[in-house]
Amino acid sequence: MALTSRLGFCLGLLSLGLAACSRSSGDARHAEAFFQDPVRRPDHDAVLVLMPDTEHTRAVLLGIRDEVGDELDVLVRPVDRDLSAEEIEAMLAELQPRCVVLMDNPTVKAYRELQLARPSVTFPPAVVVMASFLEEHYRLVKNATGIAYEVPALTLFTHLRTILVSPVEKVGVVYRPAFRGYIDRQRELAKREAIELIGVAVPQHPSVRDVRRALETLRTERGAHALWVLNDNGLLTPELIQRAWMPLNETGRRVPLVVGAASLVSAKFDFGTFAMLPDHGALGMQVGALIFKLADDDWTITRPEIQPPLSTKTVINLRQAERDFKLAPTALSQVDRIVN
Amino acid sequence: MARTIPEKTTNISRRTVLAGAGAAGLTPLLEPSIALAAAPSLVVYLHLDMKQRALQEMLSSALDGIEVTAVARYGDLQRQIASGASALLALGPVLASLGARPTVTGLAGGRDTEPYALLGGMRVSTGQVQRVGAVDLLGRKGTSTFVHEVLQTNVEVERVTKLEDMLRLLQFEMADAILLPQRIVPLMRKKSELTLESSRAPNEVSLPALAVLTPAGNTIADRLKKIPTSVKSELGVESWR
Repeated sequence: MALTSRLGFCLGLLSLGLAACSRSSGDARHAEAFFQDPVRRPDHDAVLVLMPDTEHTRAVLLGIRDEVGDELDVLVRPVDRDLSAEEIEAMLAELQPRCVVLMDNPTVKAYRELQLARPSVTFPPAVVVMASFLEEHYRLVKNATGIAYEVPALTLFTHLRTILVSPVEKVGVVYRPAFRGYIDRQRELAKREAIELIGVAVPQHPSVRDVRRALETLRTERGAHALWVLNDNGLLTPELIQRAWMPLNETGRRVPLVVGAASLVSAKFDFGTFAMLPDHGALGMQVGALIFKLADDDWTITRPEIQPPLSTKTVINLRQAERDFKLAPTALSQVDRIVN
Repeated sequence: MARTIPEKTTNISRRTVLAGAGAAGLTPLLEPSIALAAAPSLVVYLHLDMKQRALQEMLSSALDGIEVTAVARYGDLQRQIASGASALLALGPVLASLGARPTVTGLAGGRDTEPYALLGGMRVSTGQVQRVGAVDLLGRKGTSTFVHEVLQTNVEVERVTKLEDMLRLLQFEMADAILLPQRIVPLMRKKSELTLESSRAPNEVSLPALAVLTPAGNTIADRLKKIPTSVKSELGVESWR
């Protein structure tokens, strides 16, 4: 497969936000069993989970069931990108959940459309998870809390320091204007661990030249020790990866690239050095803990907040990392998957 | 192959108050069932300063021929036990919660328990902290009971699935302090630029121990006693009893 095709494939998966994990429809019977409702217990409250059926959403669901399944009835409805507000309304009327878990952007969008269409209706609290850049958007959903899907820079680079011998004190990031608020918040958080996050903005529709120039500024003029690659499709087109990101380390001082999707760390092309992404099972457990907090507060959101994902998984491109950087003696004990 | 049903642990000492923490309200998982695994299989449920992948590889190498599975989440532990594991290597409180008798017990400094500590920003002594982070050893209720017993006080408990996640609770100010083995405190300090204070918890916690769950597990018990010192050290153990 040509490089561009391989990149296109990986980026196609990235654009789904749920990389490399869509399930075929062939195992429908298995899916039916997996999503089967528990026998409703008369004295138990119900939680409704609306989710697309992917490997990652299933891992999150498993974590939720492990966490709250003994005490709450977890009812699951697999949904697709065409989910309508009317369908959600019918589910809420039928199942009467005390809380709704919304996974992935289209699900959140449909739920929000329902809220807009029924402004006088009081909706159960919603816990949003696996939605892109949730901190920017969650206030658009009434009565919602949740967990961000992006691993914070603070987490990424504190962990990277345990892997690399070289210092990780200045981290560069290229971003588009829409992400400025997000980057500002990440910069403040990173200061807690004495990490300086240096951002260089590019236009909303950046050219190869724009991204190249931003990367070179970060590496050469600003002296970044590592680069953080946002999960922003506008910065990760096959053309930009192939002509702006990948050539960066072909000349000059090499800097590790930390990406947010496992599909971007591959032995077949030299792009991400490390990927750090949420541990989906642990993410489900974190959702469960939020649900219990809601239950403790009589199903009201008293502390509206978006938590960061606390648990992550790390993938390393070992060939690239060993070739270009000095790894700590215990580095490999700190990664979950080695690509070689 | 029928599974051996371990007798309920009976040698409850002061320290195994901690070992038994969290048992209340939990249904023992070790009920009669047909063991499915033909080869000896070891489930490891320890939270160390390494990923479960690395822990699994380290023990697989030290216990050649034994199928080792390292898990981090309590739900995964329950599934592994239910699938017919031959033996379980875990902290004493975990074994006690399952009603499993330790066959091989880890020792350090001649003792089968180790000190725990609170680590956090300012004011980390017991009685001053309100939200304490801890690894989810025993599920929601069991872990809360465990933390309350180690600290001898009731606090709000924030649970995480891995040791490394605890630092994030401090970084994001989601806990006032974290509870961890005292030997881990220097490692945590090394990973962070936060100003961190520590104080010793009132009670100690049982060290890792092995429970044999099926007859095949006896082989694992024998082999575990012979693992290299470097591996024992990673487990926080100096010798076995």
